[in-house]
Amino acid sequence: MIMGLRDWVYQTSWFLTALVLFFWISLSTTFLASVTFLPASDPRLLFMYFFSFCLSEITFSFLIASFFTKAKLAAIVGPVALFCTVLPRFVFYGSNRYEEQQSKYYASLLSPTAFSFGADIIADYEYSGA
Amino acid sequence: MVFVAEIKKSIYTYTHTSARTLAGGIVLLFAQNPAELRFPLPTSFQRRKFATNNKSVAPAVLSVHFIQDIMSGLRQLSASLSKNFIEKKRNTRTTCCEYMSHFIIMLMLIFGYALSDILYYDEKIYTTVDIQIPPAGVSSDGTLDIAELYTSIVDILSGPLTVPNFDAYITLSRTMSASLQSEELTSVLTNSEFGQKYGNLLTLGSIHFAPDSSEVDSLIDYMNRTTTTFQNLNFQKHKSEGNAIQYIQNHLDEYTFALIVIHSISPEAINYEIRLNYTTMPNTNQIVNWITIGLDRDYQNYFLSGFLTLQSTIDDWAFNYTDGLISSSQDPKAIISSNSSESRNCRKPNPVTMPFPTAAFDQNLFYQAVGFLLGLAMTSKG
Repeated sequence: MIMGLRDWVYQTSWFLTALVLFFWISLSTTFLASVTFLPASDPRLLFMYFFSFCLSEITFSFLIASFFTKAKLAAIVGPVALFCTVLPRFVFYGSNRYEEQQSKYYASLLSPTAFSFGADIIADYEYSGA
Repeated sequence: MVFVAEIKKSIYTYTHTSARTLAGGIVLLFAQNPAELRFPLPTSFQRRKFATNNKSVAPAVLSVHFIQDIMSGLRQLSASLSKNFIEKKRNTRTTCCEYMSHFIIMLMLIFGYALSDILYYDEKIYTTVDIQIPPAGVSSDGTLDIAELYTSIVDILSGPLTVPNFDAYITLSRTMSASLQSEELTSVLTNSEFGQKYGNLLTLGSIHFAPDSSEVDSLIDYMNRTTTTFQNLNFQKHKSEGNAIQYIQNHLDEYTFALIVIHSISPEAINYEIRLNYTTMPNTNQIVNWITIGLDRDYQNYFLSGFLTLQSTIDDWAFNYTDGLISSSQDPKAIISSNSSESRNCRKPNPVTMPFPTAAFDQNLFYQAVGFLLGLAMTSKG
C-alpha cells in the first residue's frame, strides 16, 4: 500500500473500529429486546446471536469494499447488497423448519439469511412462551 | 552483532518517533519511512539479501526482523486507529447516526409489541362435543353466518372423532361441493389456505390405483361391492406408481383425490401407500411439534382429507382378501397362521380419537404477525 501501510494493519484497524460500533449495537439491541419483546430468551444467547451476526457484517463489508474503488458507489451498493442477501430466506417462506434443510444450509452461508432463520426460531419460541 | 545493536537503536528511535507523532495520527505513517530516520534501515528487499548472504547470522537476524516488523505494524495500527478515532470525533453527526440509527428499528418493533394484544386461554378438555341442530350460524330463515358456522365446525372437529366410512365421506363431500354452486367460489377457496385444508371435501377428484395387479382389481371390486358411492367416482388404474405420478402431474387440471399403491399383501403383512395432495395433509417432515401451545389442529387434516377413510376402507379389504387367501391356500404355513388364535382374533380396529387436554396459556399475536419480518427488521438495523 501507499506509505508502507501494511495490508493486515489496514484491515485490522477497520475491523477494530467496526467492532466497537457493533459491540455497542449488539449490547443495546440485546438490552432493549430482552426487556421488551423477547422476554423469554436468554440475554447472553441473544447477545451472541446479534454479535456474531455483526461480526459477519464486518467481513461482508470487506468483501463488498474489495469490488469498489469509489467510496460513494460502494456506500450505495453496500446496503442494497446486504438487503439482497436476506432475500433467499423468503424463497423458503412456505416451508417449515424441517423442510428443505440442505438448501437452507447453503442459503445460510449468507449471514443475513441465517440471521433471519434464527429470528424466525426465536419468534416461534417466544410465541409459544417456551 | 553490530547490526543487531543498530536495529535495537533503531527500534528505540522508532518508539520515540511514534510517541511524538501518535497524536498526529496519520503523520506517523510518513515518519515511518526508513529514509526519514537517523538510522536508515535496509528495505525489506535489502534485508532478505542480507540474510541470504550471511548464512551464519541469518536466523537471528530474521527473528529480529520479524519482531521489528510486528512492532512497526503495531505502531501503524495504533496510528490508524487514532486516525479513525479522530475522524469519528470530527464527524460527530455521522458518528451519532452510526451509533444511534438501530434504535429507530428497535423502537418500531417495541412500539408494535406495545400495541399487540395478549390473548388468554383457559385450560380445556376435549372429551365432549356440543352439537346444535341446526348448527350455530344457520338461522331459521336459512341465512348463513360463515364465521359462526366455521367456529362451530372447528369446535365439533376438536372433540372426539370417529373415522367416517367411505360412503359418509363421499356424501359429505358431494353435499359441500354442491352447496358452493359457484365455480369462482370453488377456485377462490381451493387457492386459499382454508380451502386447501378442506380441498378434498370441496373438490373431490378421481382415485388412481397402481400397479395393474390382481390385488388392485380385487380392491376395486371390493369397493364397488361394499360402497354405494364408489361407482359414481372416477378412477383409473396405472401400470406402476411412477406412471401414476407422471399422469397426475401431467393432468393437474383434473382434480385428484388419492393415489393408492398396493405393494404386497399376504396373510401376515400388507404394504400399501396412500398418496394425497400435499396441501391437504399434515406435514410429515415434522414428527413432533415441540413449540406449540393449546391444541394443534393439524391432526384433523387426516380426517378432512379422507386419508383415514381410505385407510380404513383398504384395511377392510385387506382383512377380507387375506381371509379368502387363507381359506383357499394349500400352504401349510398359511394354514398354521390361520389357525393361530392371534392372527384370526386380529381384526381392524375402529378407533375414536380425542385430543389430550391442554393447559391454560396466553398468546401474543405480535410474533405471529411480525415473526417473518423480525429477521428483516433486525438485519436492517445492522
